[in-house]
Amino acid sequence: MDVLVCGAQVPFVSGGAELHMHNIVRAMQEAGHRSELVHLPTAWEKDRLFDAPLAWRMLPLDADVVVATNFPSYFARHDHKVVWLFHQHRGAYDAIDAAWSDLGTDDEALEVQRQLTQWDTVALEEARHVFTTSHVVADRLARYNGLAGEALYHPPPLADELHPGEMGDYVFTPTRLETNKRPDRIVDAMRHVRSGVRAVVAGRGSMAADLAASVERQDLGDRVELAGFVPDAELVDRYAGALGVIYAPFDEDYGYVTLQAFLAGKPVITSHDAGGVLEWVEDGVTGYVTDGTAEGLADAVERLAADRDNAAAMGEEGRRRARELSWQRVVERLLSA
Amino acid sequence: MIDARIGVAVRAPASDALHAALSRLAERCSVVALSDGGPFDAVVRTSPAGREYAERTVLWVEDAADVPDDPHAVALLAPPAVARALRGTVDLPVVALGPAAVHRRARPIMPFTRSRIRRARGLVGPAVARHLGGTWTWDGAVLEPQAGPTAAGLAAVVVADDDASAVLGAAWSAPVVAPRDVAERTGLPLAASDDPEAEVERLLADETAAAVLARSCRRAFELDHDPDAAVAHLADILVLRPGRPWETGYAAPLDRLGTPPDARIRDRAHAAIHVLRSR
Amino acid sequence: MTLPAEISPEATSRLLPAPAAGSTPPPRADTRHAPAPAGVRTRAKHAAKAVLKPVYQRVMAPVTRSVDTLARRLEDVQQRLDHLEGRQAATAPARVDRALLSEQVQANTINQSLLKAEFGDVLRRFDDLGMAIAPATGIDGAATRLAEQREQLASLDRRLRLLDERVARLQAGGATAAEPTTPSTPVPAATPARASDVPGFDYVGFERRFRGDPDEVLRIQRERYVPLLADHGPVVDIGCGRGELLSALAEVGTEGIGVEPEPGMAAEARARGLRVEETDAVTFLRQCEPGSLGAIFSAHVVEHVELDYLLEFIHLASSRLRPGGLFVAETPNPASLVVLGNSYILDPTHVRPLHPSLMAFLCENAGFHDVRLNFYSPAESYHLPAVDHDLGEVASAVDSGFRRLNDVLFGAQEYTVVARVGEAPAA
Repeated sequence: MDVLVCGAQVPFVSGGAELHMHNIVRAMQEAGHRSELVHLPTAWEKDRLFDAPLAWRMLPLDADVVVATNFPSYFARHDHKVVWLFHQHRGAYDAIDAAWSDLGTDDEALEVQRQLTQWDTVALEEARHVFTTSHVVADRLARYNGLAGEALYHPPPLADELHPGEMGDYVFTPTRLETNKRPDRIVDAMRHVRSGVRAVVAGRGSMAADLAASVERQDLGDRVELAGFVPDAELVDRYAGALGVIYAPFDEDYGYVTLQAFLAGKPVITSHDAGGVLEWVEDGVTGYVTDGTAEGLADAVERLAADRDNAAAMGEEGRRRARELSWQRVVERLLSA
Repeated sequence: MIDARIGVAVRAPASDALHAALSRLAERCSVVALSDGGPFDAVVRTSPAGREYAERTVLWVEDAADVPDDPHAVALLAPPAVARALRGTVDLPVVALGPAAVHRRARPIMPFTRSRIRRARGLVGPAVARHLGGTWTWDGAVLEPQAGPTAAGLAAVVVADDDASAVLGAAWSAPVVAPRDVAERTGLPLAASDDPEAEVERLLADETAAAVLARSCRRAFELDHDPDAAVAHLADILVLRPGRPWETGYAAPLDRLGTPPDARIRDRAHAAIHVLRSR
Repeated sequence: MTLPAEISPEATSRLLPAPAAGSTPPPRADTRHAPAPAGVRTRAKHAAKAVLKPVYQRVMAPVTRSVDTLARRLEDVQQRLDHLEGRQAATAPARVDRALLSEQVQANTINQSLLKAEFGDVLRRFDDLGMAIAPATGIDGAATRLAEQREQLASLDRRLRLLDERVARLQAGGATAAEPTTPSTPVPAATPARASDVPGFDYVGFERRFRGDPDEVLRIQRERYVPLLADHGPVVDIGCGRGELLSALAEVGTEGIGVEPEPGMAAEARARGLRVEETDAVTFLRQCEPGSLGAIFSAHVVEHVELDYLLEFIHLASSRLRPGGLFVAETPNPASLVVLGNSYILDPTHVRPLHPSLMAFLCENAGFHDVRLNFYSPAESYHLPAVDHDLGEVASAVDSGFRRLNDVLFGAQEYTVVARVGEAPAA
């Protein structure tokens, strides 16, 4: 079959979403279908918010199946449209009161929000089936648009490369250094860790400088390593040699890091408000769910250090669950809806 | 208005229901007699097709128990009550037409948006609008009758006791709690329990349930009470592509998304296409 | 773009008797919220915004104004569009009716063709039947034909009875070897006598066939003459037949005398309780007292008599009627040529066509005071069509020509002369 995968493009930026879209295309091709990515630039300011959805509406998409992923690509029109929703425009919904959202409470902004809700609903209802990347996304869809979505999990990047290794002496966190990922809490937590376990934080982002300054200020230089950008091969090694992974973002949609940690056989320490991460981390079974404070996180780290065997067992359980994910299953599910 | 030419092949005297449905069609597109000659985008028939124009048949059904077997039918047309009965049981798409358009200015407002508007307007309180015995109340305070649509558009829950107020609430995409007979007549979703106040409590506490109910109510309105939506649905079934964009602009797809007339996106779309239009 | 009017602040104010606290900015601190201070980039953005805001506002004012004007104009256009669509929508039921009607007309046409096909077959068989029964006139004449056959049988029956009577009288020693009466013409014409084995002219049968539906004829007669004759008793009906008109007059209390030479019919009239003289008109009038009669009526009689007889008839009428009495005679109108060419010559016993002016002249000469002519039954089925004057001068000329032809060719088929005796007795 000819399958077109549709997604929004942010020119010059490539992150998890873009990677995911490419992975879908590759998975389709590996399953024997012809597949390509249709990628259109998008603008999110309220004055241009509806431009890209309308553009998607007018595209002639000649294929057997169209798989749409995020806002506004699900506005595409096709008889056989399947949506695998990454996220909608969060700035109009759950993140509407965040600093970066430009939708206030003036009448015009309220009408924009109302109209976007209506547009989203019409476009999503056209699909034969709406999947979501996680329950968090499905819950948001139900809460804001009254629509039902089915969670469909997929393997994280590097799934084939990741492998377990020894339970080392550091907890690893590969993440973008942005506010919502809350890397600062990890740094703060290390202040309370006595057992000698270190923290390795890999990744780039706007908080890099602040984090470095914080490490310096709290004199945690010997306990916290800010590794910066880490290439894939090294990433795999770092995962393999870790004791565990701390991943406590705020209201994450899915959380690749969780699954990557599991595939490497490591337990995950997270926080109660981490969103989609909680669909995988079961407290005491595959990791620890803490209150998210520096002390709470530190306490979880200490527990891992205190009982390495248990840590390994929890990691192994995580790995067992994560290995059930496969791209073949995803492709089958998407195309049979 | 859609650019469609619909033929009518109805020989026997038309029943009131069929006449109403055809009038709704005629208000929005061109309805002509079959004997006027083709081409037709669709032909409305009451009995299975003869040889002419058979492949675009829209079959009119008035009795849900008696659906003629026509291999050429692409859709069924029926009065709303019959359409509801047919929808689960047949493979074909079912379009409901009959009652005249109501609440044309109503725009769907989902509970999340409503709560933000209420915040902006300084409305505190549970925001429960009730229509009982012909009077609208807002959290217990009696309202003037003209405030009905405002209440229907902003309430967290609408409790309706008659068909008209239930449909009004549904038009504004409110979560509507209505008695069983009203729900059955209007096609709105049935409540879990027969106690309206218990339902209200449940919906006030569970935002997701309220949102799901609001969407179902509005969907019922679009399917059975909004001839514009029904005719647009028919246009989709008949694969009537919007007319030539270089002439008509983006008006049709914008209409299909439910865009209000004063939305800025219309200006932007017009501006985008303006230079390309032939003079 | 903005929220709909129903959600405007004004409309919303109706939801509360007293407006709630003014526009407090929405509380940013919500439970599930984005934490941590903003990054450097965001701070920079805020700073820039603060500087640019006044500049922005200065520029925005005129722009907003023109946008508003445009918005208003757009609303106008929108309203006009709605109005147009409304008008279009308003005619929707009419258009639907038209479409349905077209379809029904089409359906009816098809049905008609089908029915015609079936019907044609039935008609053909019906025609065959008609031809079998009544060769000259087809199925329409069948009814009259059957009626006249019945009449003939009845008449034969009567004649047989009379014959029986006569035979009986003869056998009883009856003196009169009277000739068997035949239903003969009112006045024998001066021609070589018929051979005795040739049946006489069957006038009764002739009348039955060609006079038309007897009930209809009598109804028309009653309609025309009962009001006229009602107060002019005693009324003498010349050729009264079975006495239907006299019976009708008797119903309104007018006395009548019938004059009917045909014995069978006279007997039937008597059976109705009427006084009937079994003789001819002149013979009867001769023996009447002068000034004793109220009215003398005859229908389709005067065209059957010779001129001298007619002259004496009218003269006697004028004499025997009392002052104010009426002489009423209905006869075919030969001035309408269709009568002359068709129904008049049909009857071989007609003696001469009597032009209405001639009848009027004869009556006036006989001393009648007030002579009127009433015309009836124009041959409308023959009339040439009217032409619409609006189509032009030629059309008007053609139309007036047609009207004249209608009058001349297809005018009134019969007329009645109504002559009144003056108050002073005629000389």
